[in-house]
Amino acid sequence: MTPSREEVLLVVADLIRQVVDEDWIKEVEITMDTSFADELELESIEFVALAEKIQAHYGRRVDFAGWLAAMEIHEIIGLRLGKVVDFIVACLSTSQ
Amino acid sequence: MKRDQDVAIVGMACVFPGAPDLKTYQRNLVDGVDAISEVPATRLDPVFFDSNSTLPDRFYCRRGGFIDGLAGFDPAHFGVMPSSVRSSEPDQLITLSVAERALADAGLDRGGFAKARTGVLIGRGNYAGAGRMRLVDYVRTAEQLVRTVRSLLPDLSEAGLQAVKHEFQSRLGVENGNAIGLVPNLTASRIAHQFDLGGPAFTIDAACASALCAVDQACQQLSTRRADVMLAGGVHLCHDEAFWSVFCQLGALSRLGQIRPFDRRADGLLIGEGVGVVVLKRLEDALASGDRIYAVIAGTGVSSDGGANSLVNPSVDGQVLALKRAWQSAGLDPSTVSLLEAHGTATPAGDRAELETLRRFFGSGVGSRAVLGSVKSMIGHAMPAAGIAGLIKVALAIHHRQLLPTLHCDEPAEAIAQTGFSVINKSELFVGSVMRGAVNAFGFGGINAHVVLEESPEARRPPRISATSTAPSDETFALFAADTVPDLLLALGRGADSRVGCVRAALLRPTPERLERLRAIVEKGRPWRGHDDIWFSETGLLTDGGKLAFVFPGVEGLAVPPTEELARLFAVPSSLSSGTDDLEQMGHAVVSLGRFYDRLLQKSAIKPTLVIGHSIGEWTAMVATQMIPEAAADSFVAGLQRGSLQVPDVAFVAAGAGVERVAPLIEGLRDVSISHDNCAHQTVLCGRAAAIESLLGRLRTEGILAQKLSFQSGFHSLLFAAHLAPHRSHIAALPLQPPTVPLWSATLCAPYPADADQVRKLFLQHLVEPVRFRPLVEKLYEGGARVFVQLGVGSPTSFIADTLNGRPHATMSLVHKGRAGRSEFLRALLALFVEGSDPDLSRFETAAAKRTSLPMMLELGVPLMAPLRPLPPQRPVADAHNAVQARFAEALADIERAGKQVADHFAASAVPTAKRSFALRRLLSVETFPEVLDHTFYRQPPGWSTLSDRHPVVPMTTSIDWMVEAVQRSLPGQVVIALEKIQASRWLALATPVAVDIRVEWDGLDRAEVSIGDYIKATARLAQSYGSAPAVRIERSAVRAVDGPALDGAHGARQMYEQRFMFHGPAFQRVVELGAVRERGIGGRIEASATPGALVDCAGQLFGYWVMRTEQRDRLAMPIGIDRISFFAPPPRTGELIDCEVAITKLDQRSVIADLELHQGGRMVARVDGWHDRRFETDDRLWPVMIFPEKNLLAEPQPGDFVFFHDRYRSAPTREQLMRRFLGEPERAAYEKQGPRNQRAWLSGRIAAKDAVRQLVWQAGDRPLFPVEIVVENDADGRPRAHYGDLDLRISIAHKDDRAVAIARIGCNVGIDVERIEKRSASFVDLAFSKREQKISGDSDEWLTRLWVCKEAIGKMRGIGLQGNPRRFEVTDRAGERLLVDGKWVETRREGDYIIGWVVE
Repeated sequence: MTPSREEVLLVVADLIRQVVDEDWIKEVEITMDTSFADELELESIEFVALAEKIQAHYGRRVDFAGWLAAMEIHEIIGLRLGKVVDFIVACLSTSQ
Repeated sequence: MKRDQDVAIVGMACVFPGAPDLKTYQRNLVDGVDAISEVPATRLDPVFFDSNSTLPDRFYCRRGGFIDGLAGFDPAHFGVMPSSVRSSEPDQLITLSVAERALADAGLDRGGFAKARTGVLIGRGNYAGAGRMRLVDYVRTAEQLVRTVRSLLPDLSEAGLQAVKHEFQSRLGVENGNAIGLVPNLTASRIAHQFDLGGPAFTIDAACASALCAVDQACQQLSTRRADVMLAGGVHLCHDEAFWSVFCQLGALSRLGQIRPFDRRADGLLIGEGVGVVVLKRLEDALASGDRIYAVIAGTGVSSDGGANSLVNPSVDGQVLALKRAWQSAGLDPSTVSLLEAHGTATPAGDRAELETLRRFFGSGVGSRAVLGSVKSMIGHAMPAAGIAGLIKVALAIHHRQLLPTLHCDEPAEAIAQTGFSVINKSELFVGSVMRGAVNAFGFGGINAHVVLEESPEARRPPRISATSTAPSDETFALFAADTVPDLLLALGRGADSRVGCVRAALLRPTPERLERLRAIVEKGRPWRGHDDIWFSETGLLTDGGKLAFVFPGVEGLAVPPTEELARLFAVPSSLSSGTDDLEQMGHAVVSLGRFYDRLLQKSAIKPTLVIGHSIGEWTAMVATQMIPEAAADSFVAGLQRGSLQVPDVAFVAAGAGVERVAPLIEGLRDVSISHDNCAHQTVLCGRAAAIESLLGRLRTEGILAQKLSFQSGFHSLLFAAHLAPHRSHIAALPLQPPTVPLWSATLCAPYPADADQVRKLFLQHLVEPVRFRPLVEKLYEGGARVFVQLGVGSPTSFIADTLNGRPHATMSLVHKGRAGRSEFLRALLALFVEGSDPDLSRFETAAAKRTSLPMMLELGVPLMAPLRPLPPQRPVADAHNAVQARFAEALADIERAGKQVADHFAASAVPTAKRSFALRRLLSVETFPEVLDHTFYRQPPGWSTLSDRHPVVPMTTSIDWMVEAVQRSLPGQVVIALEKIQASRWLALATPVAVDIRVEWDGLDRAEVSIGDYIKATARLAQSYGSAPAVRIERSAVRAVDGPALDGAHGARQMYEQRFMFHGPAFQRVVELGAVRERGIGGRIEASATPGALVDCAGQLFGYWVMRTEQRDRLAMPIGIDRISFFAPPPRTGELIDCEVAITKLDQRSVIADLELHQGGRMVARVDGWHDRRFETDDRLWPVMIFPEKNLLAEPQPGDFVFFHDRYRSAPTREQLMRRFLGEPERAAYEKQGPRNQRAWLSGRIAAKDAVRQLVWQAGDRPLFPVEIVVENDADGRPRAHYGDLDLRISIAHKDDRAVAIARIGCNVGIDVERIEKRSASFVDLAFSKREQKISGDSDEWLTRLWVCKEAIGKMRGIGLQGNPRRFEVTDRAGERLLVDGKWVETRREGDYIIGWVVE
């Protein structure tokens, strides 16, 4: 079964918290609308670490790197979480 | 028409209902925010409101405009003593604060204007302010109160009356010596004083026209050139009872509770308040100095009604005259007005007259879009400040070219139509050439003012760009340091900026909310590094040998931001900035920025312990560490020729993975190499274009994020080898010297070599070998580097963070989000401070940033006092006891005084939840608390003089009462509704006077931690009143009586005391009736008394009694703590009867827990949840000794008239009981000197000896004899001696293991010994016993032991002991259990495994 957007959001939010691993991130409400740059203050290296974790979590079904390869880092950083979630959900539903 | 002097409004500030500042006021005006509310209880007590009453002391309207909570004042900032704030009129302080903001708004906060030619005119009604009201109450009402009570209640003593007066006065918080704060004109003078202004400064009272009259006068000062700058404004903060009474009596307030100017249904005004100040200059001066001009005052007009009409009703003629004068002085055509801010009070008569004035003056000539309005519809009528509220409104409207709305004019009065104006309910943009407005303010008694404003000539030009790019408020910061986290929390609570201590915190933009957030972070105790501009660290990374590294970044294709702002601040040349087009230019800028920052950090007293660079950042580092001397630095940097870094056709790829994943992927690819090993999530590769494409493909297949960098260079790869020549000659020409700070190479992962030629070699190596940044960081971390500051733009800090992820470290970049500004630099300094550096922050401590304390909220009202606590019942003055009580009352009064200061802070503080504390040292003794003599643990003979033998201790319940009292008195108006987590750590004994600190630490207004020394502590919960009593939970009928009704009633209670179940004396013997002892509970009735703690102590006695009656062992139970006591009513008065029910909730071997309820007349007054008693080890032998020590022995008398004591008591508390029960003061001192191993046996021996003597005395006849009456000591030879009266006592004591024996006789020597029967070795036997003895013993272990104890007993009787020689005496015969030793028969007996031998001379 394809996980719902909300489920994927929970997973990604958890991975973000692992990557940032600081006290404040525990208090931040991470939503579909959360921006990687403004609210999470994710550095690009942290974003790579997050991408790695997402890849490891979902495996080959989600070609995260391929999706991101088409973007510039600053575009990626400008992303809101909802877009990432949508991409993951799309990959998971087509790979069923 | 001749036009008078134009005056420019160049600065404004205000506080009005709903608007703490100008910005909010502006927003509220545009949005049409209704800021009217119900009267806060802190201003007027609800008792005064009655919509049906016509009495002068009852008000039918209860709505208005209030600025409570918006009136902040920072005493420290203005150099005002916080303690004097309450004694000053709040209007003085808030006007001062608003005036400062107005000056700042005008750009005059840092001087730069002719202060001697600057004046202050403030419109202010001569009403009594809060400060004066308090003084009236203090001086007059207090006396009137006493006189009234005295005449109505003649029986009340003079002392009682004085107590009433004192109680009343003390709650007013009037401080002596601050009366200057009550002088009304100080409202203006304070401003002149604060800012050193030499122009006229005074207040003006023209009722509701005051502020506009002040503006009129100010304009005259300017036009006559008597002043160059004028502050003008108005203030009104007078929601007092008298003021409301006047307006109610006049019928001026709206019965509907709504202020509807110019509406058909308008039925009166609502009282508002507030303060506004504008800064005025002659227009030409303002234009010349390029000031921002909100609007120009073109003309002002003031008139009086003369003899027309009455003093109350307005006169149209008088009003028209003012308008006429103003427009004449403006030289403008009235029909060009676009916005008229009317007086518009919404009183029918007032509005009618004003509309008639408008009709008469403007006719119907005004433009179709002329808008009439009144801000009173939003904030109420601010009386003397009303005119300034209107003036600021119109100035803002003109500045923003907006027509502003009026609320609640849903059905406009018909008369409006005849004026040509209309009222709008939504804001509109003004369309037209020059916007003009006017303001009306008409006062009681017929004083009329009108001001004409218009757009400044500036307004038509394009707006100037503000010169300041960073608002100073962004750089306001607060630092906190302390030695411990709790101390830091205290410092936070005080809002006190401190810098000494290793536990540190910092924050930008301190506000109460942000401080609260910081406090929450500190409480968690985990480090917080910069998120939301907050920093905290309990142990800074640099405090414990941690090293600070400077990191110079390389070129990453990022723009290098400009630094002018910082350069100005530090008075140094700014660095080069650069775009992203030219690689070499970027390189120059990167090096320049690094050097710039290095200089700034040096100036800020930040020094690194080591330095690294990323890529060409190492070049910057070489310059910064003076490896390349300053003189050569510029030429070195200049050597970066265009094209010197570029290699055509070579590109970089950043791969999002560590080198271990990436390295295998380049196998087989020609001309591709790893150039940067940055971190676990980034490796940079370098290669020729064609190969790079295949590399990207491989990376993508692997699922590795990859990105081509925007510039071409072959740096750090062999592809650059062909381009080394210019660099080689460049470096060869450079003089080199050792670095001032160790510089580490990322090529070697080691410090730069000392030898210059080696350095030159490394310089070239660096260009063709990879940057090994990740291993370098690892190495540095191993060496103790913990904090990394990046001096420029780029990613090294994130590489470091990635590499050190999960390990304690901190990174900070001086460039943040592409900005290299002041606040970015300040952030890094704050972060460094928290990690343990001591940066020089003086440059950031500008006037605005220097604030070290937070604004207090001013108390604007004088609310009626909360119900006072009843005074304690009075006693005859002659009673010595009463004198003592009085002394304790004094102590409490001290607490009250100390607490009041804190409470005042709270009441006025913007940080209501911050912690504050005080400690009060009190001397406690039997003199200050004589009732303690009825709470002594050890009953001693009547008249026994040694107090410590009785051991008076403060009951836990008394400590509870004191804690409640201390907390409660310190916060007048609050009552303690519960005490939680009461923990008694040790007894507070008063045999000798004790100085204790009663400490209260408030955590907001509803919670306090309270403690008495380290004896007892608890958490108090406070509220404004007691909560309603809960339903009874302990049901009597639900439990079965096990003890029958025999003990019921008063008889039972008397018996409980007579039979000494309680050690308590009369002051604490207040259980008057005893209920039946039930399976899991007991009830009783208690008579309340004045003795602190007696009531709850008695409840505890019932609880203790239950244990004693139901348990056979460990019957003594003493309180050690209480989970929670809730109070639902004030303490009962002396003599009132309280019913108590106890429900046992848990009983085990060590403790017993109960819930208790106290009822008065069926209503619960208090409830105890979880009263913990500790059970003391007692058995049926010890128990009678504890209750009737003078009649019972603990040791067992034995046939042969000695005593045998089997000391089974092991727990420390019980041993303490035994020790204090049996030993007198000197004996206790001797006991304490015994080593811990010996102590036990020593005490057993003493108990046995005393009981032996008591047994001996009792043989001669019954008489009570307490152990303490007998003194046992050792003489010079170590022999024990007992003394009791003049008896010639001889004793002997012996102990073995936990057995002790003692014997006593009068006039003849005795000896006793005890030994355990043990297997003795042959050699021991040969050594100790003669052949004859061995024969007598038959070599049995028992008999050998008997022989031994006999010889010991003889030795003791002779007073010489065996002196180490077991053969000193010989046993020569045996008869039954008796043995003949040295010619004397010695008795022996076996008790279990022990042999006792004794002999009497």
